[in-house]
Amino acid sequence: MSEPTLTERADAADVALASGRLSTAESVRGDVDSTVGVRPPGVPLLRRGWRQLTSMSTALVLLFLLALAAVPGSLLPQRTALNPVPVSSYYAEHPSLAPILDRMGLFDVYSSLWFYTIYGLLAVSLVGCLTPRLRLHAKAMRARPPAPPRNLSRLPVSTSFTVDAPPTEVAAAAHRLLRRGRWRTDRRTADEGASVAAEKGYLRESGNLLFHVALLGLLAAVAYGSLYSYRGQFSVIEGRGFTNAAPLYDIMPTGGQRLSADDLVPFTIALDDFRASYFDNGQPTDFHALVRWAPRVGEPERTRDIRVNHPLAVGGAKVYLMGHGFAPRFVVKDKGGKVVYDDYRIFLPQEGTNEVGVGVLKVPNGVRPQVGMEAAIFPTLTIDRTEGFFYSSSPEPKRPGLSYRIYQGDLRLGVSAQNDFSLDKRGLLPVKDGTLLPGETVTLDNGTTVTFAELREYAVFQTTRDPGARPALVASVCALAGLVASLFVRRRRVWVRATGTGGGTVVSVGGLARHDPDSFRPEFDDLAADLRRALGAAADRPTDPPQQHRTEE
Amino acid sequence: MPVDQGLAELSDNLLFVATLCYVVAMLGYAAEFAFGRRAPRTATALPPIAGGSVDTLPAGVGSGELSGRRTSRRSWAGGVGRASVAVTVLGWGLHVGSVVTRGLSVDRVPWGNMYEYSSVLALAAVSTFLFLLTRQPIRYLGALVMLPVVVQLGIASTALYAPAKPLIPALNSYWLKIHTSAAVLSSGIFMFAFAATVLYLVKDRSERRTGGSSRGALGHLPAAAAIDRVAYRTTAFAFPIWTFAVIAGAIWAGEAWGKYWQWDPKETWAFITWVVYAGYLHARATAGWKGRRAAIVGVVGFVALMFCYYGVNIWIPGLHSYADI
Repeated sequence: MSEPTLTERADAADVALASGRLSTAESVRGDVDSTVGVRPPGVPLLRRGWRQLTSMSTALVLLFLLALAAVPGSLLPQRTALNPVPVSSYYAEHPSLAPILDRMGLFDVYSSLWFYTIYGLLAVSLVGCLTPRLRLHAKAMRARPPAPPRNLSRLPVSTSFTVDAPPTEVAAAAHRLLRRGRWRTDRRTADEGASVAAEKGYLRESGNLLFHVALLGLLAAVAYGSLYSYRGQFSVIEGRGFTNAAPLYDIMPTGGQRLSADDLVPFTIALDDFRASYFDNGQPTDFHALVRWAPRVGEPERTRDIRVNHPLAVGGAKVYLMGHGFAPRFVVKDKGGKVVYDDYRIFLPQEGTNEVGVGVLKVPNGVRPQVGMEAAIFPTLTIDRTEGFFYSSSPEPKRPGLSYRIYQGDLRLGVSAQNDFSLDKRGLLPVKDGTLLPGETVTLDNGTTVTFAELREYAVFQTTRDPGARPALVASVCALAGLVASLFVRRRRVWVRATGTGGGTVVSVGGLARHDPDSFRPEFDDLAADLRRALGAAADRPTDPPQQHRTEE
Repeated sequence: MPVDQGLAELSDNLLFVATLCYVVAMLGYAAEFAFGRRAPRTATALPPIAGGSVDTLPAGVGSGELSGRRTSRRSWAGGVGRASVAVTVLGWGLHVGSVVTRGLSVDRVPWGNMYEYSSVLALAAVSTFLFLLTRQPIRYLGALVMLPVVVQLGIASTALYAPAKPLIPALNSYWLKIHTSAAVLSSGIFMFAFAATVLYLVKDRSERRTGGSSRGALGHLPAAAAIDRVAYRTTAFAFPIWTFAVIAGAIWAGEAWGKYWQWDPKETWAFITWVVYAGYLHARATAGWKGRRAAIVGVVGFVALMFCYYGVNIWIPGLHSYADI
């Protein structure tokens, strides 16, 4: 093998130059290790740190750290979920381990300092990488396509032929053709002839940049949303209403630090009817909450059917149907027949029981001693005769019945911590148990009567408002569009040179594909054929068949 | 909504036969791989490959009998390989029939529980393989593609089997069609890419050891760089689809649960999978990460994907746990 000649070397350099800077990414995010040694020793530490942070290797490591950091949050219970119970039960099960995990932020992984640190660093690294790339790309968009290399036949794909038309005409035709093919072109004339340089596929880098900028936008939208969003749960019994105010929630609205009571959208909602339908096997088919609602108190009401997957949108907030259950109405009278209590009690459905609900009734006033009751509501009350227990044979209220145990004594309200669903039995004595059907009454020894007056259903709604959701969606869609462009748009360069000689004009065409050179070959051949046809050289035999050698990158 | 038991049964039976076809094809591909003769080096041109990529191959390195149609015509191993393709196509047709009849039997999209989803995922992987096979000689990947497919279908038909049932209300949304189909399609393509990535790692290792030309069965394979390119292109194709699936899932979550992202385990693992595959795409264009390291990242991505599916559904309670086993 002989050494390459000087011209050959110059040609190779020429081609390398022509192919250079098709992507700005590599020039910006270079391999740090290889560049560190080149810089003078006096480079400030800060600058070196910045370079290290914005290098692709660091970005990759941060990316993997982010993936790794997300893992524990999927394995351990998290407080971010609306339901705080799993964390406290984890505490109960692992009393010595839980506080340690908690201190490490493992129950709040996605709002922990170390999670923020990783994605914060990643965002900074991204900004550091994107800024120069945006600048370079903006410059490249304005720049003329690079001048043709000296020898087009040394390009990965090339061809040449001879036509009668003068060089300027050839260049004009090539220019027209390439413009039509949406190439970015640049015409040059020189002493020996004319040339056209063309390039396309800028969209690839644009898409790449859009993708990364959109990811930053997504982070911003998420952060904004977490400051101004809220979420809470409330229940409405059929025939009753709800006004969006914090004290009326079952689970108080929780949200960003910047949330104040004024941020609650002041809507009202009234539940006219709740309908659940089931297959014969008890599997639910659909839930409907038929409501009347108004964007604020006093405004005309509208009706709406809220279903699972079909929330009600009201003034920037959304109301979702989250669950349902039964609410029996109890009427309690003293021995003189005076009504001392008349209200619905919300019973909590028990999982896997055909919607059996459990709840309590507390009557602190009007009767002495105080009355408490634990009860379970069975939508279709069925008695297992052999075992002697109650169950519900269907989730639908076909034959509702209540099994109860009534207590008398001291409810200890205000003395002990208790909620709406439990009794503190320390001051109570059981006095009666049995079952009640709607309309039935039980009379206690002191003449107090308790009536199961009626059964209604209630719906559980969740209100959410997240002003960051829409920007997040827009950012995600932009990211996806950018991603597709950055993966599938191909960058190509084509040069046409027309040189006048004695026997006509020699047209040489050369092309270079940065991405997917295999599909470029037929594309290039078509282009060359079109040009030949446009110049009326169809009859001409090409002086040089289309080159079939590959690009080496 | 009644379930057509006859159709449901037909679907189960079709899937069983399809799985058998895949097993036979897998053994066939493996036999071709093990016993095929090495082709003369100069005989085959490099496979033309469609799609977009950053890199190319050194020309004419080590493409052998398995990748070239002309040279394999005479050997019996090549015949076994071609027969395996025919059996795969047969299995694929039965598999399509199984998925369609399952859908018809319950009058909904056939990916409402893990059994159905696994079946469709395997179908997507086989479809990817067969589709690419029409455009480039990648029969050498057959055994490695069929292996996860067969395992997947085996698990689906036994441990995950669920009789045909209508959907629960939470799943009854057109987002089920959009989100889940994108997820299952990209997962299937990722599965194919995983097979190619593993084969690349094996081939690359042998090339390193022998200094370029691997011997034995591995000598039949195209150059490591060519296999890597197949892996990259399929991954790069699946990645935006996965991205879309995650976005569509977030929109659906916003519609159904009132919060588009709440770090539910399924969301978390979809995110982890996305991040790892994003890492793969970047690593492949980064000095010091290209090649083996990038490929290992790709393998980790697939492991995360499988955990996102099996691990999260089976071991971790979360909002996606209605996707019953």
